[in-house]
Amino acid sequence: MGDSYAPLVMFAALFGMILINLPVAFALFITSMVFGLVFWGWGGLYVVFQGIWTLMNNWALVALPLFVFMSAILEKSGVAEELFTTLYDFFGKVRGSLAIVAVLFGYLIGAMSGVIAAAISAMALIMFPVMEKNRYDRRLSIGSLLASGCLPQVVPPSFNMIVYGSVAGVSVGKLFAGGVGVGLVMAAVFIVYIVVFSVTHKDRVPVIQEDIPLGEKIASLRFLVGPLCIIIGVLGSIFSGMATPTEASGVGAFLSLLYVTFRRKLSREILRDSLLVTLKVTSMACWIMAAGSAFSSVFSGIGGRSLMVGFLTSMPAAKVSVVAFSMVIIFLLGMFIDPVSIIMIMTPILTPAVVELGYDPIWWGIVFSSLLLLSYITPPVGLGLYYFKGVAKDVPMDEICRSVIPFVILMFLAVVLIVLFPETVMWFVRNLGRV
Amino acid sequence: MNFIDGLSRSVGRCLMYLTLAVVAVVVYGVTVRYFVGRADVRAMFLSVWMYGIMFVVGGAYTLLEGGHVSVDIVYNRLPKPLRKALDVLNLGIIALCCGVILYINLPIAYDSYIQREVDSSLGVVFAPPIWWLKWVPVLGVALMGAQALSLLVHRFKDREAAEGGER
Repeated sequence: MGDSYAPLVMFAALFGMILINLPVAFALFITSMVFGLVFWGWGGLYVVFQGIWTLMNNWALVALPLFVFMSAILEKSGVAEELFTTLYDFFGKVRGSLAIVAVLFGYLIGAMSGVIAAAISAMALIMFPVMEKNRYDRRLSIGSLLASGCLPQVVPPSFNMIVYGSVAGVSVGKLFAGGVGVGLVMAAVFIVYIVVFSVTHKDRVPVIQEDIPLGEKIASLRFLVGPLCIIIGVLGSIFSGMATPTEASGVGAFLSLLYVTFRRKLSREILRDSLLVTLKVTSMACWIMAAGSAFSSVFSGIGGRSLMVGFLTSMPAAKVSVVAFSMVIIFLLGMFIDPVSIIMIMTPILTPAVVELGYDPIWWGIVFSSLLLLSYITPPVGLGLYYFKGVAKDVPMDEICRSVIPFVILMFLAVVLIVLFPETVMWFVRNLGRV
Repeated sequence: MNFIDGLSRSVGRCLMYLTLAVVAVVVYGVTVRYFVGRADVRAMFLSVWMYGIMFVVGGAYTLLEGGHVSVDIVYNRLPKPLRKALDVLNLGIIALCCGVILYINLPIAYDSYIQREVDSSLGVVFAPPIWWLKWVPVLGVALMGAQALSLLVHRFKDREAAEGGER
């Protein structure tokens, strides 16, 4: 009897360790070491090596550094900036156009990269000043920029989906296909809100007066050619079944490098900074995953998995309540913990129960990954908020947090839509994912 | 201690080029498969190895640069001395973790070397030596543990400096 609650104690210990500012990777390591040692003796410590070794031999994860590198190089070289200018030239005269352009930009950048850093910094750097100059409602500006800046994490290729896919053992290609749908649902929800807000608050969302000649508009289209080729190269090769996501990430990184070199935007500094960022992000995420893999071995081994499946599936109206419960838990954790850690901690706990209840593992993986988006913009600890603040230094954190709230609600609403109407994403999984 | 910081930084600077190498190898692999019609398994092994080396050995550099994510929401609200104490505790835990992994990993790596272990996941078609790869985590955690200790010493010196200033 006493032992059966050990997994819960383990879980509590993990959170204790995380709360004292111990890096998540080591919080996972130390708890798995202690519990492995207590329950299995010295042999129990072997799981920590196993965790690292498993991760070192995971072919799917080779895609992580490559997609991060691709994003970094596109951001730092200013290619992202050109993309924005092109979109902006086209939508100039519509009320709320700047916010709508932000959403489209987020989607497009998302299709070229898998991390939010590139999108959010580019937006805070380029779009926010333009919105300020045009006297846009500040809350709408900040909220729409941050929310659309998160889209890269669901629009394929998505960093989180690669991590989730390799942890939960589902096809990354199929998750990617579903991500196309998630991105569309979210973008639609944001745009509807922006349009409604703009029409009802005409005084706070002015129409831009600047007139751009048609010739210039058409000329600016040339900036779209390169990015579109990269997008088609990456996503096309995955969805046609020609290449695995890992191979596509290599090709994408190569094409981006080629494009940036060709446009004479590559310097030694840009290359070095991009490579260093890639090293740091990869190492950080992979150490969390290695430690998480050790943690979930011990957690399952001492009965945590069956305890959680038993507990969750015995909830009243399990089919509905488990999904609702899981969604709330992921949302709440997202306020404090980073997405990769949430995947590592919660996948072994929640996913088996949800799948046990008869849900499609791919669908749940897509819902899980979409919920993780919220963690980037929910105060107090949202990575996106800090990225934005890092660039827009004179905007108080308070204001950023308040501005983002309507969009947090919208994003959650979008996930609820996906849950209620699975067809919105599953259609893409069936029709795009030949992998 | 500055020697260790310098070492981690130099190692990071070297490791960063592995990304470019992985790009090259993956692109080569795709090209060969597409034009020759047969996958070159060497490309696959090589890219996985390089990615593994990159993240494992890069851990020290990431630690030095404060790249390992942590949750500082409670931490930021604590008084300074308590924060310092937590820093010391956390760096100690990191060093301990690295020590334990080293202790577990060393015999594994040694045995693997004695047996000249090969990767037989593809059977006899292609069985590259793999024993050397088991030394990579040894190197990685040794470096990361040393880096944690170095940061620990820096923290202690910080405190002395602060107290000296008050006096």
